[in-house]
Amino acid sequence: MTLLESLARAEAAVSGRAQRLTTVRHTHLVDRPLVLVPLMMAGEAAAPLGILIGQEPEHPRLLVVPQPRDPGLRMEFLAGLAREVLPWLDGHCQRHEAVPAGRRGKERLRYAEAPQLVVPNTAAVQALRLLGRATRFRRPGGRYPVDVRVPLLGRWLTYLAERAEQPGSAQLLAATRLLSGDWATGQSGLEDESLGALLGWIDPPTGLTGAEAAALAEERDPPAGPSTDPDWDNRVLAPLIAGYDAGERGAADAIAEAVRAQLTGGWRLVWRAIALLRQLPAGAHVAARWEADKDSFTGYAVQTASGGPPQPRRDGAVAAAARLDRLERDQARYDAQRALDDPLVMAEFRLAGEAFAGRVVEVLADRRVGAGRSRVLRPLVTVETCDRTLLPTGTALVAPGRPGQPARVVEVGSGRVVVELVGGVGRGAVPQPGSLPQPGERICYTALADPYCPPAAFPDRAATPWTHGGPPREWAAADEAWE
Amino acid sequence: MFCRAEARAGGRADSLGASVVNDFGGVDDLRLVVELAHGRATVGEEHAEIAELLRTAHRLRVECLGGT
Repeated sequence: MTLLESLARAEAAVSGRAQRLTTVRHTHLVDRPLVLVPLMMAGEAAAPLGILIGQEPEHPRLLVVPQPRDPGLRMEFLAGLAREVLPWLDGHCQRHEAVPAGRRGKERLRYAEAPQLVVPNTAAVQALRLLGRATRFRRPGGRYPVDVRVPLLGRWLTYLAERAEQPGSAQLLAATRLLSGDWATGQSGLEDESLGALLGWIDPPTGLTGAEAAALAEERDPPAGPSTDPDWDNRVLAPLIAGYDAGERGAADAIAEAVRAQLTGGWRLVWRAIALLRQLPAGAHVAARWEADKDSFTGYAVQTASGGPPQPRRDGAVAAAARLDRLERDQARYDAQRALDDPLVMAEFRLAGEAFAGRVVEVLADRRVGAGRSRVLRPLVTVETCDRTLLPTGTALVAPGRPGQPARVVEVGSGRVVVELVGGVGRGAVPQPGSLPQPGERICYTALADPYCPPAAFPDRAATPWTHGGPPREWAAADEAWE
Repeated sequence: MFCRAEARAGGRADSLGASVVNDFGGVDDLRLVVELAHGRATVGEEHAEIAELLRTAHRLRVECLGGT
């Protein structure tokens, strides 16, 4: 957490109302996301109890396992989930779009849409990851055959859970993570994982403060999954499951109704969160990150369709290092893009002395440096600022509003920074009209940039050094015992 | 033992989590944090640096949110 965010939390706690942390939304939202609210059995790993799923707020579909400890019923339930999820995924593979050729590559095709799944909280993302792990190695044949769709569902759930780790990806979204990225509440980050309490702080009912609404939500509403309320487990669920085990008539329907009652609150909260987020304007780089999601989806859909193996239980040494390298580069890029899109995020860097904003007080437009034919135009811009600037002379700078105009620090004085423009002013003897900042104009400069960083070089997986375990074994489908 | 209700009722920074406590550099009263940020309170020399940082942070928030 940073000082600006901590201050916003303190302001929220004192005022009783959530405070904004961003001025724009940094996540793409599709028109019709798939919302999924899972409920897992307490004390059992990857034992689903029920799921509400759908793309219409008023028409959720309920899937329930009447006895989650029964592996056969669990797999039936997952086959039902696959019947919901796989056609939805296929629906995104119907239309292609052409991606223009880059500097080196050729024009290529990709799917014109990517799927977006929204769950209530990060624990639900973890629950989907567990379900993916529990199903992607199952087989339609062998001693314990499962529906042919179940392993495919497992692969896709694993893919989506991995995308949730990818900085800036919007394919699997946790509503709590989205909301707490945009608003600071007067409670701890751990408490923000309760979607009802978080929404209470952000959008309290008339007549209540955020703190009161959050307290009411904690007391009154069932949790938005995937964990159940222990009191409900003991008082409601356990007797119903005992009745089902004893063969009581109508027990399965009673369990379904009880699970629906637990999930409906969370379902409404997720749609309320989506509606709130839609009210925020999207940041400038959001669309470009969604393009990357479409590329990723296309790549994985093609790999799956061509019979590629499921994701391994554990990455090999080379794959793990490459993945870490990619995540680190993408995180740095995402952080830079957020700051360039959003002055309130940039304020963090201004507070740390890595950026400054102020008013242009002087422009030396026709300054030229060098001699003879290599003499080039290098205008100077003096900015008056209240920010404490810690950028050394010579640091490369960029202005969020002028991405094509690189600059560098020439001098940092008391309340003034002199900046040299090293591009984006034209090639003539005088700057292109309108290309220079004007005196009186507000401007921000930062050392952050959004450059393309090439991936690090890693050995081929077959050349994994012995110090890292040697080459990993090839995947082979094997019959598995029930967990 | 940490009591959430007690920490909230007392307006203590630890009700917001350990990282927030660290950010406020020893100022534990949330009301005082906000007052310092708004420049409406003063503290001794041991907290002068965090008070300055809080004032700057508040100025930046106000500037970016259009004076709200």
